[in-house]
Amino acid sequence: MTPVSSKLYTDDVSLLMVLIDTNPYFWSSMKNTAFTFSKFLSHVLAFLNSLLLLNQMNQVVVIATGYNSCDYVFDSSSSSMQRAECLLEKLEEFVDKDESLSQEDSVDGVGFSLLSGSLSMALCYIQRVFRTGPLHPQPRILCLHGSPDGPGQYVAVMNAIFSAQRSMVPIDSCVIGSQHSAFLQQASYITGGVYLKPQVSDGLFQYLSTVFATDLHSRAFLQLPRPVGVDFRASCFCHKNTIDMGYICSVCLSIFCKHHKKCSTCGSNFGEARKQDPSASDQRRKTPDGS
Amino acid sequence: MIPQQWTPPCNKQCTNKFSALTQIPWRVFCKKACDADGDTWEECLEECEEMCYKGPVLKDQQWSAYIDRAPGSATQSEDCHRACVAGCGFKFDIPSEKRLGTMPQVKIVARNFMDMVASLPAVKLDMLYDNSFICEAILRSLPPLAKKYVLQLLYIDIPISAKSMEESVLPDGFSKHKVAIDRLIQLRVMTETFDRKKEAMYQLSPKFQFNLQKHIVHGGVLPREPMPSNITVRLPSLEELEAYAVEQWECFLLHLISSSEAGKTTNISSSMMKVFQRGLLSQRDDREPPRLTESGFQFLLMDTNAQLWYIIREYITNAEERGVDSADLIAFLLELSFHVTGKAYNTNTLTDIQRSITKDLSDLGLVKLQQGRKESWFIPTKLATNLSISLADTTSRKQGFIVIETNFRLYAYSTSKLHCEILRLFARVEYQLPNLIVGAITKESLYKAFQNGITAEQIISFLQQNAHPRVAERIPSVPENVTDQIRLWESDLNRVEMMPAHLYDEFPSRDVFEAACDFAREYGGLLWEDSKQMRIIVKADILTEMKEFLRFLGTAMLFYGIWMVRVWQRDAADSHSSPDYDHFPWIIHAFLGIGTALCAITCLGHVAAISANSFCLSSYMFIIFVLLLSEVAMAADVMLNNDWEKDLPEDPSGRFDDFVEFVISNKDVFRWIALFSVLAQGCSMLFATMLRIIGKVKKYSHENEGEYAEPWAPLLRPPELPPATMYPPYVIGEPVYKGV
Repeated sequence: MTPVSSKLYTDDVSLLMVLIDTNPYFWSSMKNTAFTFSKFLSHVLAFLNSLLLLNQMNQVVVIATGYNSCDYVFDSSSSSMQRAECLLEKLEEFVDKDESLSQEDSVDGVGFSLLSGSLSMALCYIQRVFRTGPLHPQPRILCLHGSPDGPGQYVAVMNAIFSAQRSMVPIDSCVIGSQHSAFLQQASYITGGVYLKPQVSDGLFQYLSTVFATDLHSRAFLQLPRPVGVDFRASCFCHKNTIDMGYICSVCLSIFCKHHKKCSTCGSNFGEARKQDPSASDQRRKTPDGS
Repeated sequence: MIPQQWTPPCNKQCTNKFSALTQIPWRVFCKKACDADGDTWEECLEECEEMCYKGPVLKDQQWSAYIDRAPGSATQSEDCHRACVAGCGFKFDIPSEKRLGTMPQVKIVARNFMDMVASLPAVKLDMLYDNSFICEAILRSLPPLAKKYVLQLLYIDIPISAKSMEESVLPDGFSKHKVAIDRLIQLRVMTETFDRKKEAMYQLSPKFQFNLQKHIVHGGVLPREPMPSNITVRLPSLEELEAYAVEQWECFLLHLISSSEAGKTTNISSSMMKVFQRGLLSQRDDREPPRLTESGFQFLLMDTNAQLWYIIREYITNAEERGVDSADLIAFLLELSFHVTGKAYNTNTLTDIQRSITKDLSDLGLVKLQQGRKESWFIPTKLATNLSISLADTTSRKQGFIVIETNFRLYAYSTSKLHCEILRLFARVEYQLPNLIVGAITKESLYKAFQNGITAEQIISFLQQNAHPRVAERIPSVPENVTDQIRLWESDLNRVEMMPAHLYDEFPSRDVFEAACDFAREYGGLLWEDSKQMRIIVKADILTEMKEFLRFLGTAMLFYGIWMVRVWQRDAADSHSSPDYDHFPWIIHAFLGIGTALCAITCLGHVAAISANSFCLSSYMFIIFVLLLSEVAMAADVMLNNDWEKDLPEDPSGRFDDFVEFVISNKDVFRWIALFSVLAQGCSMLFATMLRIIGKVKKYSHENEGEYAEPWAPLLRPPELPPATMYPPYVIGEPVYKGV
């Protein structure tokens, strides 16, 4: 019955999960660059409209990534008209809720937004779409992210990335902030998505429509921006620092910046194993030679 | 200028009226018909069909469309035909009513609406883009890459060079890129200009750009406000609406294929119906009911959306005749598809033309018209809202009804007469219950279908698409043995290879039979043997092949002889005043003589082979034998005797020396020719021997002519095929005939 299913959905029908960064600390730090949250939103809204214009079967879901929480803000399959109003209303509610959750004293400088949470939510949504049957639009995730990476979320983000890789969902990332994001670089690299940091943030819509509106079918024919270099550095599990060199648990591959006697993740005992192993292997090697 | 508006001009008129060949390709075809060679109207039409209905030269290659006889999109083919018919009509003074009736046999291609839009003339197309819904619908119909380009160029006001667009395309995608760009230019969404360096620059059509920009900023809006629910009482629910649409559509289809069968009458005028029917039905004469054509069958097996497209296309192409501008009609249909299914819209918001269109559409089931106390309104059904969705999308797929068992029984849970009619096309309907049709797929019913031009794949896909939900869950939904058997039966029709052959039987003894078999096998001519009953079937052409070669040799020699006579006469005329017939050169005699003799021998061989007369064959064998002996003797003489040339009489014409020189210079070729001629003669002798043996056999059965004629009839023939006169006799498998 495959011919029927391929007939039902044309190649370019896509489900786009858009993760927008609503971290208030990040946007307040952007105030002096003239690229404000409202401008950003107008670009994103135009982009969403254009995606829905391309194909009536296209579906767009927007997830807001806040400082303390994340939530579905908009789903094109449920609301038909007045998209912008619907989205803005929900977004406002979300920001209020997110603010009420935060404690005043916790933040110094620009905080980290909850990328791991919104990535997981997007993947959950995609899994639900997968389970509706063999016929579904082609999903992809687009992260519009500005806040710096939260090293504390390293494990959760990496797990989400690998989960996306397993279910063949590319993660596109568009970094709005001033710094590159190592998490998103890795996410796009591993899942085969596009990583882009726009040079001119005022032309965000043009970047979005040129690069990120490309459906998965057309990507096979087009040259999309390739990353110059990917920051593959990992965070250690013990202090959440980003490190170049460290110790790795041979059992569970956990990363540590210092030598530990016992792995905090799987509980393996390092000290003894190191003493026993070489002698055991030496002995094993010697026996065939001796005989 | 579109073909419908265009009256049939001819010759000079054709040429004068239209300047650019590229814009009006059908002008040429009118002229071609005016100048056609055929002496009758029918012959002229035949030429039209040959000329216009030709696929692209290279499939899937855009540029090949320009080499194609009827260039451009597929509608051009029809335009070409119309123009050509117009030209023919002009030539033979045929009234225009008759001309319109001659729609050619075109294979129905369920084509996209957008192809029709693309074939509109430039001015109308530009006018269409004033409407933002049309812009939206057209954008959605584009190939994915083209959509992306439009989006990319949406906020760019200056022309973009083609090179910069090509830069981002990978080598694999270049053909797709070309298709996308061609489509955009064809639809005039993008215009191509050339800058000073003759490089192509692309720019979006400003109207199109503006409308889409508006859409992107403000989001989608509805074409017209639905009426408030307090006015529109008793609105049908979505299910009722869908049932209504299906019912209307089936009623229309039933009406289309057989006007008598349909219980309910539709309001569609009979002239409209005729328009829809042409190409689907054909009527040999007025007395017998119209018969479905091959394309008609294909039409019935298509899914609803594809059928709808076909009808809508016909509806649009005939809009001009009804005084409706086709651009208006397309605009309205596209706009209709943006309405919300199941919502009521006031008919007062429509223009007069649109109101009359909605009446027609309600007969097709696209909209439902309702009359309130004061106002009337229309409710678009799913059929209408799916119009702008590309053809491939079949969200309107209805529930299946067919269950097929592995024993080829077919159960169709349906009350519709149409379904019964469709099933009858390829299955034997056994009985009909109120909600169930029971039938069987048999070899005979399928042969009937294949004969009508339905292919096995079409039947299988129809069965799969309409599988009952209970069996649709299973994979495969149609049992594999049934699908395989349907395919096998189809390939049965194409499998038989025909080959003229002779059947020999009643051999006098087993030795003779075996000798004949061995001989035939040696020469690769044995097709079939039955050692029990001593019958063999041999290819008819072995003997003739061998004889052909000899005849060729003889004729060549004869011609050479004649040519030499001519040359000798000329030489003689130069040297003496009159040719000296006393010293006629012997070489010419020899060549003429041998040539004639060879021809005569071949002729004798031919006669002997056909009559299979043993005396004839014997004498043929004898002559060939003598020929062989003399050849051997001559060869021996030439080889062993060093001055063999002295044995021959003097040649006054000098032709002999020329000949020898020629032979020596082409030694290799002549060696082969000699070898072949000797071989051919040897083979002829062997064949003659064999025929002599068989000839004896033939004599026995000569008294019984009627029985003997039997093996010539085709031994295996599908029951429904036309009589044997059309086929050369052929044999396959176990021959069956009486009297043995």
